[in-house]
Amino acid sequence: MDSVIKAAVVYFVLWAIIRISGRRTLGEMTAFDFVLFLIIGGATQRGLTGEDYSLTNAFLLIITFVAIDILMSLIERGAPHVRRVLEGEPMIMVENGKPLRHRMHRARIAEDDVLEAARRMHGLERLDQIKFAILEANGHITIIPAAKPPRSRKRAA
Amino acid sequence: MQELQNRHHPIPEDMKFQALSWQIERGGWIVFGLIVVLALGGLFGHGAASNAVSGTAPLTVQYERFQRVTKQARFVVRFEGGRERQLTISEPFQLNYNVSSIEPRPIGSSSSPDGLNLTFAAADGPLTVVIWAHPHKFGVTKINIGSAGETRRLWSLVYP
Repeated sequence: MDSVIKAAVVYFVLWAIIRISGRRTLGEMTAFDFVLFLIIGGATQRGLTGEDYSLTNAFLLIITFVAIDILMSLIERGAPHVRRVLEGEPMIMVENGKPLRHRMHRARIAEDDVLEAARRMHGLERLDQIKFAILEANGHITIIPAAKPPRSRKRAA
Repeated sequence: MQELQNRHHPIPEDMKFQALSWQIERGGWIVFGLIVVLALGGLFGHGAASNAVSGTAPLTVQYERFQRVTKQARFVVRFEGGRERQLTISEPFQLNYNVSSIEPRPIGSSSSPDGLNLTFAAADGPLTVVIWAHPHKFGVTKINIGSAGETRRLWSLVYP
């Protein structure tokens, strides 16, 4: 019985911690963040298993986690407003080349993060080449390039 | 503020919800900070807030006020020596703790309606008994420890 309760408590507490720590933490994962997540996993695992190293306990924990996850996905599918609470919503960071600084500040996203995503995905160099930069619910930045080709290319053509 | 207005293209936004999320996020950070500070202070065991002493001579018990399930806890009992000495620990201790060691070893132990009776060999001067035990049930545990007519009440909170 306690394995199921423990797994459920851990599931929701970890969800709350990760949700509160903000999306930035998830999307822009550095090497150190990766190590941090391993440590979080290790620390939780000890608490979950306690002194019970039996296979029964391990399977009970795994099955409980997967079952809660499936249940949550079913709830999310049926109720979009629950999904919003659980996962957050996408938000526009750059609009027609203009950074929305207040939003970026609150979401802890720097201009450099947006430019990095723009470089990586579309080979863009400047903010004015970006039509929209969107911070997705999972923490990734999506770039929609400006429709017009940059002036320099126009001249060359 | 213009930035907090909802955009509808290319994604529909709800900036009210977003602002609320940020507020909750900030509140959560403060809670995280508080938890760290309280943990340093010993609210979750092993620290100034957790050290507890019950009673004065001739019987004192030093113990951890805040304990954690399966984490070894220490009870230091000091009482007057002399002839054979008996220590009585009430039943909740037996039920909620898994005793791993008692130093010095008692020369006898028995059960009575008051709980567990431990008998120690005669000693000159005050006797110090150290009990190491693992709590295996969370919640508040109240224990009475008695010797030669004196009783000390201890309470500890065991975190899950």
